[in-house]
Amino acid sequence: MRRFLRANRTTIAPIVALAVVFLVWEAVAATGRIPKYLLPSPSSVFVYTFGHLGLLLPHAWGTTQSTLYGFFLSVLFGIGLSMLIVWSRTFEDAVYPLVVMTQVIPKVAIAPLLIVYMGFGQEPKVFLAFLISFFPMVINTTLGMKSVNVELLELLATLKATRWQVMQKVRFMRALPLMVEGAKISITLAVIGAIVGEFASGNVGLGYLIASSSSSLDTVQGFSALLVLIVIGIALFETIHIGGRLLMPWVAREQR
Amino acid sequence: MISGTRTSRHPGSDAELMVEFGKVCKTYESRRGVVEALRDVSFSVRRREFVSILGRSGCGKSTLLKIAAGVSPLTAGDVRVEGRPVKGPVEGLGMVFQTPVLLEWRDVLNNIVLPLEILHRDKRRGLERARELVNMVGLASFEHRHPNELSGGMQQRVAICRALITDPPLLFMDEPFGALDALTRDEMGTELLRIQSATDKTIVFVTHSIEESVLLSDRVVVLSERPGRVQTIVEIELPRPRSAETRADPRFAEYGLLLRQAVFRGGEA
Repeated sequence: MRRFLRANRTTIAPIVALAVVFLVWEAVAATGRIPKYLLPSPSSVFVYTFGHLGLLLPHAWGTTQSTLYGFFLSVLFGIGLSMLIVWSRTFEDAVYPLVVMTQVIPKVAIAPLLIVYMGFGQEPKVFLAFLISFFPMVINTTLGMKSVNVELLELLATLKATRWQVMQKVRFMRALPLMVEGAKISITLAVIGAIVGEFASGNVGLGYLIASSSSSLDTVQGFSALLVLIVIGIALFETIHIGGRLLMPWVAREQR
Repeated sequence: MISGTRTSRHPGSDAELMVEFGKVCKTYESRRGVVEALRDVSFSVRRREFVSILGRSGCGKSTLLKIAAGVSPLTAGDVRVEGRPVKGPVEGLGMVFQTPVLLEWRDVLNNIVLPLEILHRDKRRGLERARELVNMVGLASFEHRHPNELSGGMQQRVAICRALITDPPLLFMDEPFGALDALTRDEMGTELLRIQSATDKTIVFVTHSIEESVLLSDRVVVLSERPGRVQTIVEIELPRPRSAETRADPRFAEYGLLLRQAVFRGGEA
């Protein structure tokens, strides 16, 4: 038994922690001292969720779509921008303050503006997801592309390697593990971006559902939407994590 | 009797000279002001010769190699490689550094053929040649391993193969065994002797190991402490082929002593 626990520590520990949280929550809700419309019990949230999949899933799909579109834009834009930054010092100096500026602007504050510009459809959600999530891609990819050994560059110089060859054969590959780490941060941020967009307008998405349930004091529905959101977030994160390991066996080997 | 000879040959157009340093000076700016790294360094390396540059840490011996490779500018003087003045990175050069600097995402063979890819040479024939090299350094069963599955000594062998894959006439080695443990280091020295006799390259070898320089070299250039100047040049007249047993030759110890004196004399000057 002890040996079993030790061997499966990484699986068991989080499950136990999660179970404790739910049990405490369930117990608190069962006392009845907090009204149900303020804090529904976790069991009632689970029951509601499985009973209303027909309502929840289309919203979940809308959020997932906006998240993924925003995320893919982030990845493409992040890698492209990083290549330019690594390519030209002048470009880096010129563009870095702008990049930082886009990050210190609170996204919630510009969501209404984006709706004015882009309408009530999916575009502002995708754009918000993109805007909030490209930064870690840029930071990580740039760092990765720059962390190339000086002596390796000297070696490549004596081979008359072009900048493009250095980029393609060395910098890009060197940056790959950091890109994947950046993508993990990026995807979780993209979920937030999509939700913020859905809060602000439209009638699709878990963000919309959460906003409308809280205005009608339907907290069970709100928690249920959150639950689905958590599942989506974790699934997307893990997909990148596992995909990264499969894509880069040499990194997995280092960590083992 | 052995004697150290101070030489400053620098004839301009001798076909047998692979590398010529002519009054090379190097100063650079650091946070603590201007540093004079090298002063009036003059010597040359003949074709198929193995020359070691020996000196204490920070005497500018690595800088000298970088200047000759054309990846670091000099302040005054001139350097020629195969008779041509060095302006910018020198082509057709094999380079090995203190760390192997392999690409961790490529396996052994693909690391070795990297230079061929850069030069757009035929990759299939390159891989054949890479296999021969891997066999030569005794890594045949590791062809498809990645660098992080190899020991430090094995990685450095791969780096040597990568330097040899383009079959360059000239090899620059910058403390290639400096990061290895003493035993592996010994082993690699013997290995290099074998490679050298099998390939007849011109090798310029930077080291701070007196033993290593005696075992491997035809001549040892001793640099003084900063600013690096040529303290003395010692011909090592031990017979070739050499091997690990060469260390038992009584002259081996004599050369060692002579170089030791030269290195430490440089410290006081």
